[in-house]
Amino acid sequence: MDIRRIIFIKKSPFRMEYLFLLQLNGNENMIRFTGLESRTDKESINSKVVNDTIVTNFLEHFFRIVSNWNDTYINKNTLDATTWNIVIEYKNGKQKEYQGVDSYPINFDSLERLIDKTIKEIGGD
Amino acid sequence: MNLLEIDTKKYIPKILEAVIETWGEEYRYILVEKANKIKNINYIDERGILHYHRFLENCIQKYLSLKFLEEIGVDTSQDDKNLGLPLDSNTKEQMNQYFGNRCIFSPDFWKDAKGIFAFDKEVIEDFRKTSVEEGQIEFLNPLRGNSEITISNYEQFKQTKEYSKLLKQIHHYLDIYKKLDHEMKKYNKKIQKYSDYVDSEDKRKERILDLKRCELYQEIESELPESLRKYLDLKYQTLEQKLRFLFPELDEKSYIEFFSKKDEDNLETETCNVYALRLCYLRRVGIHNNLNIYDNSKEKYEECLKQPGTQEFIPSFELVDKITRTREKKYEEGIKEFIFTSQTFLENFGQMDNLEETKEYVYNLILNRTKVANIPLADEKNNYPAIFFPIRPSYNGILDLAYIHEFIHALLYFSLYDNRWGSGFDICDDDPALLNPYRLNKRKYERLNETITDIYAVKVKNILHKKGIYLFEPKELVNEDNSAWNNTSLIVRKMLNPFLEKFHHEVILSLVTANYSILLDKVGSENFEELNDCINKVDYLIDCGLNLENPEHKPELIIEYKKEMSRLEKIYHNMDNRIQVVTEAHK
Repeated sequence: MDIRRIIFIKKSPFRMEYLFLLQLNGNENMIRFTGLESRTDKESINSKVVNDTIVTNFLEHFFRIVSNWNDTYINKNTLDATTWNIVIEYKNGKQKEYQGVDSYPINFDSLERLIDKTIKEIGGD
Repeated sequence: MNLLEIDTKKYIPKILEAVIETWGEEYRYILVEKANKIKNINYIDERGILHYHRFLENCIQKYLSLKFLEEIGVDTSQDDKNLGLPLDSNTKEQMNQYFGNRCIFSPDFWKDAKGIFAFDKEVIEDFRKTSVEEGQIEFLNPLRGNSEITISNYEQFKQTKEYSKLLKQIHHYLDIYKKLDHEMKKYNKKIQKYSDYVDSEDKRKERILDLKRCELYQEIESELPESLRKYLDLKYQTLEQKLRFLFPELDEKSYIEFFSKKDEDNLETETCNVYALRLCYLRRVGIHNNLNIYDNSKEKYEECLKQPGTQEFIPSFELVDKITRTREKKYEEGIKEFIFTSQTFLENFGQMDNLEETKEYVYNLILNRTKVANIPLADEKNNYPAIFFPIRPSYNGILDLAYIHEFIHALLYFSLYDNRWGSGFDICDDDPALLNPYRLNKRKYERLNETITDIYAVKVKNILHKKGIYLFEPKELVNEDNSAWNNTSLIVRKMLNPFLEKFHHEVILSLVTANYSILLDKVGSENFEELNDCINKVDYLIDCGLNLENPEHKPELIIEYKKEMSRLEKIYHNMDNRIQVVTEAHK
């Protein structure tokens, strides 16, 4: 696929920024992520080189989960808002973005589970 | 501690007492009255439980690692004894020396010829002699502080007294490990209820969604392209097989749905992933078996389209649209049923008015992971503050603080007209005039209010913990590092401390009565607005990466920060001046 990278960032009030980044570099694909349990920026971001099977499987599910989402989900009638943001960057410079403030697509949980599963597969958290 | 049976209501009297101790006995009556109105909704978030289970496994790993090192005489005093924090790097290195770079006190651990396990009886029996000896030498050399032992002289070394002495020592280490490993297994059995719960809930959800998938198939089957129907009938005997093929997951767009009008329109302008997923469909229907999972190009797709028979499997836009709408509807129905029929939801919903309207309202709040909300109860014609407190994936080590924070929000809740509401200094509204000018996704008074709430939440938590009262988690799991609480920064909390100390009575009275004129009359509304703006600005600088410990990182932010600090000093000075002028005038 002509994707350069996919970045998922979630900022919830009680923890450090959560990052999951899939970088496709042709020969070497990489996933960078913060541990789900980490709460301070003292804890480093993990990096793992991943094989094509993991990438293909992740991308297939990822696009099937997000492709019907709206661009934004905003709920202002709330306290302690969690903000999230997904950016898909393509090799041709184009990008697609999804974002939300305390509001989520109904299958958002499926995306988080996919990320958990992928991290577990690469021996992360 | 049982995270599956958390009853937050029982903690409220203790928290309330600590709040009264912080804010003043004179507010007891009003605070008790406000606390009585709070609804607690303690549903269970399976993913949160799963993560907490992993957190507990990590805690026991740290506990047993430290215990192992202590028992063999290694000094671990430099390591933070809080089990929720990772092992200190020196301690980790010590562990690596004895066990190799692995998590030994983990249920997934299996022994191999590394570290002291190279001397374990079972490993010696199970592994090749050369691997065992290499592992033994790899362990012995650093222990002796040199690299004198090699494969060629190892047999000779084994005849020495030194070796016998070392072997005795290593067997002693192995005995300690076995004892601790048993302790780990006992503990993991104790916490297995969490993974069992998640498994059973996952299965329950799957059963519900499976039924919804059947309904989906029944609704669209007659409209599927004839070739596809024939293919399904020929290839799959059961409905379950057909479903797995056509709609593998109800929460994900199925391959056939990538032939939608929207995807067609975006083919040239957006991405190539549509080609990849369409090719997946064609591969799955078996007409292009030569395609592999990495085929995703436009050229490949167009080549497939030209082949005879392909077009017959391609659905119309109308059909795809119907499939998508029906699938999304069925998925939502399934999720609703899953939530509505969960034991915890049923128990919690009992305290509501039991009207469908309220049920639907609460469902949406759960879906949006709401923490504190306004709940209009139709039969009582009243609005109530509600705290939603499932264990979330990020709450480990800070459950007490997280709940106290939400409790303070709920305590300072006030209801406005048209179901509008607020808490403390913040009004939950999307009025453009009430936006934070520096961070447009925040409200004007949101960061000030969050910071004040955090300052008080930390004070209340400290009071309870100093008295030995731990609510959700035992002491050894609690992370007491208040800077680790990422909602608001210590920098802004420090900025507000003088204000909260000096105008304690006015701030608290305004907050608990939701009558802000008391405070504004005292400090001057223009000064209060200026203070709020100053907090918003510094909060924004922090969001941009302000780092006071490393001034060379983004120095332009440090310059801005210093300007704001001078401004803050002036604001506090103006507040003092105003008080002086008003006092003089009264004289």
